[in-house]
Amino acid sequence: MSNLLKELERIEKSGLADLKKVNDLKGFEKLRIEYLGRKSKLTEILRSIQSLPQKDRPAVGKRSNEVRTSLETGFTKTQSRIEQEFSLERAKDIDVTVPAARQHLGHIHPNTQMIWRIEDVFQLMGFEVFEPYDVDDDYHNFTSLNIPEGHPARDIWDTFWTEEGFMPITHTSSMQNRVLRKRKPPIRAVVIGHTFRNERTDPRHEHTLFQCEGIYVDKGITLSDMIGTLKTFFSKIFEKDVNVKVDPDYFPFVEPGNGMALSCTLCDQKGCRVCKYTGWLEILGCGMIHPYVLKEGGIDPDVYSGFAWGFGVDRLVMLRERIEDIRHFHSGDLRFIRQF
Amino acid sequence: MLISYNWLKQYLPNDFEVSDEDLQRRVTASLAEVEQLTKFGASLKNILVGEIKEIVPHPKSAKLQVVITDVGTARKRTIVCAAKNLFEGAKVPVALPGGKVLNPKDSLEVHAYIEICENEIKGVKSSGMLCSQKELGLSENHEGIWILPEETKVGEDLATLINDTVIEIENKSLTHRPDCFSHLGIAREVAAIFKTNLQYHVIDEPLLPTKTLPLVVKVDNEEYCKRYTAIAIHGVTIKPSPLWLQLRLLSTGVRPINNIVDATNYIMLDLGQPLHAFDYNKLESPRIIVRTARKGEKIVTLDGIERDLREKNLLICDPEKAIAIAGIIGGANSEIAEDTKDIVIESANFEMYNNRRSSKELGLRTDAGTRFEKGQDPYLTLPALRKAVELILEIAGGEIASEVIDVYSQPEGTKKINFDISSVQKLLGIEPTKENIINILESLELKVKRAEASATNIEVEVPTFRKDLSIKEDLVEEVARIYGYDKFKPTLPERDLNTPTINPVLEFQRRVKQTLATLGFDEIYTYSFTGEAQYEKTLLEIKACMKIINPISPELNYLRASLIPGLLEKVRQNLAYFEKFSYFELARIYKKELTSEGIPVQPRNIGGLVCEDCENEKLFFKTKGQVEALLDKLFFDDLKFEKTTNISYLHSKQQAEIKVENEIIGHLGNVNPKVLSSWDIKKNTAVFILDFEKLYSLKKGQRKYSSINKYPSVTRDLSIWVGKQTKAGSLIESLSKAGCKYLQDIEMVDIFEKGGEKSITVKITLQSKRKTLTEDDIKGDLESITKAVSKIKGKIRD
Repeated sequence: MSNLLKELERIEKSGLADLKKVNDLKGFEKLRIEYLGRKSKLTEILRSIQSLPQKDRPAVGKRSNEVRTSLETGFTKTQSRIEQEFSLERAKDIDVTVPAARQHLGHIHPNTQMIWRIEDVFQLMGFEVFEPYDVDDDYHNFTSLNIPEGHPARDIWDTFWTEEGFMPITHTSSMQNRVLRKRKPPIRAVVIGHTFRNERTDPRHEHTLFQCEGIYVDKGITLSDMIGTLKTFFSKIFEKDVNVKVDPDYFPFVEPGNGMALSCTLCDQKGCRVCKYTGWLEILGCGMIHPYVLKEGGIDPDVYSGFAWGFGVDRLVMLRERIEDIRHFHSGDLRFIRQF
Repeated sequence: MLISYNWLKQYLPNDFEVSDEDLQRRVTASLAEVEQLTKFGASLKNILVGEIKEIVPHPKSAKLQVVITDVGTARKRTIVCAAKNLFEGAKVPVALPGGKVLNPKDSLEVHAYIEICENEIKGVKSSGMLCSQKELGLSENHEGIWILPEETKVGEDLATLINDTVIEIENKSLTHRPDCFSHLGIAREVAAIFKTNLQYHVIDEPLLPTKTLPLVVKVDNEEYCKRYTAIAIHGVTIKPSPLWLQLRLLSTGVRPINNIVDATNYIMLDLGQPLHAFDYNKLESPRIIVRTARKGEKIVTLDGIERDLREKNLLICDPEKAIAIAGIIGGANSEIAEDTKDIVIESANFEMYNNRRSSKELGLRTDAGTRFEKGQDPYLTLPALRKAVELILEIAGGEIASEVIDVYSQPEGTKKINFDISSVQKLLGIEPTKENIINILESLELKVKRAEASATNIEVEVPTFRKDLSIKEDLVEEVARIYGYDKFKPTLPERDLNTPTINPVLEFQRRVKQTLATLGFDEIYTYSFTGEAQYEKTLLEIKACMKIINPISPELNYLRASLIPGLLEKVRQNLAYFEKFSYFELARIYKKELTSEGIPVQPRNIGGLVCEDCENEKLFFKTKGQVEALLDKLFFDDLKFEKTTNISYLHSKQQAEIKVENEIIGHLGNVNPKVLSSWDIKKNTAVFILDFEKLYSLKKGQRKYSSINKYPSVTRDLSIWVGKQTKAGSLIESLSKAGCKYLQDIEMVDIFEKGGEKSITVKITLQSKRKTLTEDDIKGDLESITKAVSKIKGKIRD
């Protein structure tokens, strides 16, 4: 009897080992006949059980059935393994270089993307963000900013007027008086929005632009602080250390009034067409807020001081993306928008 | 404004010399941006003053002539020339062989030079060339050869005379500096910037008449005419100005006319005081009256245009008529002409606001107006008049024929500013010494009264030409710019850790924009301006829009009251490149009604457009699905779409209003075919408009979280026959109100019409949060639904 049990052990071992080696259905079928077929050794043993002595039958019978189950499981597993391999072989070979129909996602306008970037950087620096009204009154756009009616300084801005005497704002400084009145120092605020100038359009000029104006009012704020703050901001925007240059300029709502230039971000001051070989990009107007403007906003200029600035968002986008024509921004041309 | 370096040097020490680069850089750094620096005559070579001795016809060409010219050398030169304005005895610029002149074919900015060589023109040897002003780079004038003043010396080297550097400063950046609209003013700045002394002294000697012509001045309006100074001169000879004067004017962009006019222009460019000269004998009587215009009064100005005057326009008049618009332009009726013998020179001061208003009303910008509207110094009228008289006597002859008449009833005093010099450090963050600050102020001709050494307050007296200085901050700026901004060190303000609140409106906008982009919409911006044509095409009423009185173009003379025309306008151009697209704009529209603050109501709208070649119904539902997805992402749950017919630009049968919590927040639909055809759009297009302000006011910051249900759900597809008129929406509403215990969701599967009936198939989902549903539970709910269906006279198909 022990011989029979040993034989069963051997059949199971070699059957399972052979199954591991087989890789095709033909070989598999041969093995199935060999191990589980009518003439297989296992079948022979199963048939011979009846002729065994009574006392040996249960043990051999039990063992034989175990081996049969184990082999059958092995065969089932192997069959699905081989079939899987076989179906992979039959599967279509995909040409991965065939261009796919690309899912279209919308593109956010490059100006919006820049505005979000500006908002994020200024918010990190502690500034609150406001939006202007597109159409405002004379007081907020001019008079509260120390630009009285009839003053020649009004010619600095080519202003549109509505029949009702309102104007599409010429700068987002139109919010300055409101912000000064709404907040208590320290006041850190930027206002970003559309501005409008009655200017003929060409690749460098548009009548509709985005502007970012900002103010910082607190005790002891200096013009040197203004230089440092704006230098920090632009370094973050352009992701490199930029230098700034301050020159005198005239805007009635600041005193001193300045223009600021950035070291050319394209050529790093080696000289290029964009900076007209000067190494500098004139990019914003700024200065210390005029005491008249502070007073008009309910802030005591003897206690507080502050600086203000304004720059064009479109210009920054043009510099960052090297866009040659400012008129693309309001063109609604999807060939342009979809590049960003 | 153009400033000549040679001219400036008249006001600076003899040994003053500065490189072009330094001049440009440091004036920019301390005064105002020098936009351009031009070298006059820098590359001109071998150009001498010649005299035409003889002109003979060219033997082979009727168009040409042979000109014999004396340039001061032994040999006379033969030059072939086509110009028509030559005459024997004329003094002309002659470019000799080897000389260089500008190519007249190019614009002056190009600086393209050509070299002169000896050559033969149709058989005649020509050794040189006669030059126009353009060929010498002096002006764009290329009509004929430049005829030089008679007294010009033959043989003089013109290239050297022309040689000058001219800088250009934009007027706007000097708006606050009327004193700088002159060479004297700029020279004063240059002296301070380069730390040297200004060479200028006012002479007080009286101008004494040697002959008497009667002259009386009466100023009727002293508010607008602050000072009127005048003098008469007898016996002048009108002729071209001497070469030096012509060159000065040409290099600063002023066209020479005759010696008297040129002299007045020269003094204006020199000192900043506009002068006006007119013919004494063309006055009705020698009585000058300064008054405002009478109703309906007209004047023909020097440029030959008849102008209607308004009542506040200030005029210079004789007892009969107006002879000039004060401070702006002279009248043709008193113009200096070739036969003028006696003249009046006016040197006046006109009030800036009225002057500017008049200029604007008349649409007339002149060099005089530009100066007066900035506010000129009334103490400049006398020195300017004196200098003008001296110059006229020198170049036009004649003699002083009247006393100086000076009407100045309310003399201005000088301003004093009490200056706490610690404000320099407080506002600028730099620490110059007290001495340093005083030196800077004095270099600009401010008078500083020195208190004792320890005092931080100084008293600063401001000269009358510095209209812009009145408060301490103004003085701080003077210190800053002369001290030099390049010496400032960037610092950062100290601040606490308080952080700003993120603006919730902007945050909401970002969410809207990002969601629409995810749904495939590109973001565009269009102009806020619109016009009648755009509105007509869109079947909208332009009446709703505010009108712009000075539009950029006649087609863009209104402010939009809807985003739709702007969105539609961009379709055609994009169809040229794309088969289908969708885009949106989030921007303000403008209404005539006012806010409580008194400015126009200008809500932000979200406008979307979908353009695609698919049938109408599909396009409608695609767009509706996108609007639903957007509103879902904004956490709105209670949405409703209701049929409308009244939105003109939408298809009358394919439009709906959108409601959130029963408030209308916008519209959507396919575009009216009429509108599509007037915009020449040949593809189906749908649009939606959402009122951003309303959405924001209804906004939910978030949606309430509900925990994930662990019990299985059961779904059933129900096909329901209803009457043709029954709307899918009302069926779904009936089902959701049927009283089911476990109804989770109703989803649309299919809809079709057959005969007089409509079949609507929906998928309903039943689920409990507490248990797995039994057959009885399901049966119960389905019975409720059956009841609800029969209530609206429908029946469930088997």
